[in-house]
Amino acid sequence: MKNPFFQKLDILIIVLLLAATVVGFYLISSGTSMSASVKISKNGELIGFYPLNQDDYIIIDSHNSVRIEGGKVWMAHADCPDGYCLKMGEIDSGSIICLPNRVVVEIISDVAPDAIAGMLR
Amino acid sequence: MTIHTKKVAYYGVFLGLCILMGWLERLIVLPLPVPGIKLGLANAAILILLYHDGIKPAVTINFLRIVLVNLMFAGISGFVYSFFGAFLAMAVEIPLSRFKRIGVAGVSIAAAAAHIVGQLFAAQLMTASKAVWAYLPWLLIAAVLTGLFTGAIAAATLRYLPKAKM
Repeated sequence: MKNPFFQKLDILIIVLLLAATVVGFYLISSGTSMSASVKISKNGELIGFYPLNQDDYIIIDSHNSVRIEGGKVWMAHADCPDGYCLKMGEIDSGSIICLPNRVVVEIISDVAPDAIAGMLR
Repeated sequence: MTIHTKKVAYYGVFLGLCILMGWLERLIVLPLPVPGIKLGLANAAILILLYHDGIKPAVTINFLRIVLVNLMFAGISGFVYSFFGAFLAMAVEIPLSRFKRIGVAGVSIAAAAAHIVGQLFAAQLMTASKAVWAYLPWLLIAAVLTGLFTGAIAAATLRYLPKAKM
């Protein structure tokens, strides 16, 4: 047979991949690669994801900016007339919404399943 | 360069098969907790081409398949995912298929795994989030199983294909 289905090195490939799987599960369970992240979007368009455990200052545009510090998020600057987003203060879950500027700051602990569901072969 | 009618018909059948597989896969939703897992049936056709006809036809048909399937069923974002996935898969399966000690199964599994890495890379670009890699272990297990499956289809078909090169 010219193109044999299974060879000895195939076992090696499978073993290597399964080993990578085990390492991957270990990394996820030990929490080094997974934590909550801050999702910022404006007008329904994604601005970006930012890790919650990493201090950051995100200037969305001239109207809004967001600060991430010590595992908490707050709207650091907003020029909206009502200022509700500023009054929401520091959050570590849920979301801050600045309606006049259409900015949404969400804390999400899960990965984005939509992106995976969009994967098509 | 002359274009042989036989070649046109032969590769046309493969491209048609790939498109059909792409459509079929959209109908089959695997009852799994992790989204995004597909059998990768078109990969079986690409593997057959790679072993039977060589690198150039395999790469060409694969590229045409991606363009056509995504134009028909998905859209631009689908194209990005497909392209990254297929590019890495081909980059892995072409050199591996040259090794005598690696069977069709191993090549198919490695290609499926590479495909997933490519798609997750595309997903990272699309979502601007590294969190998508958390799915990698699940998808790697799936890659081993679906790779075995498509590899078996390719190997079984290769046994019955006439040896004559186009």
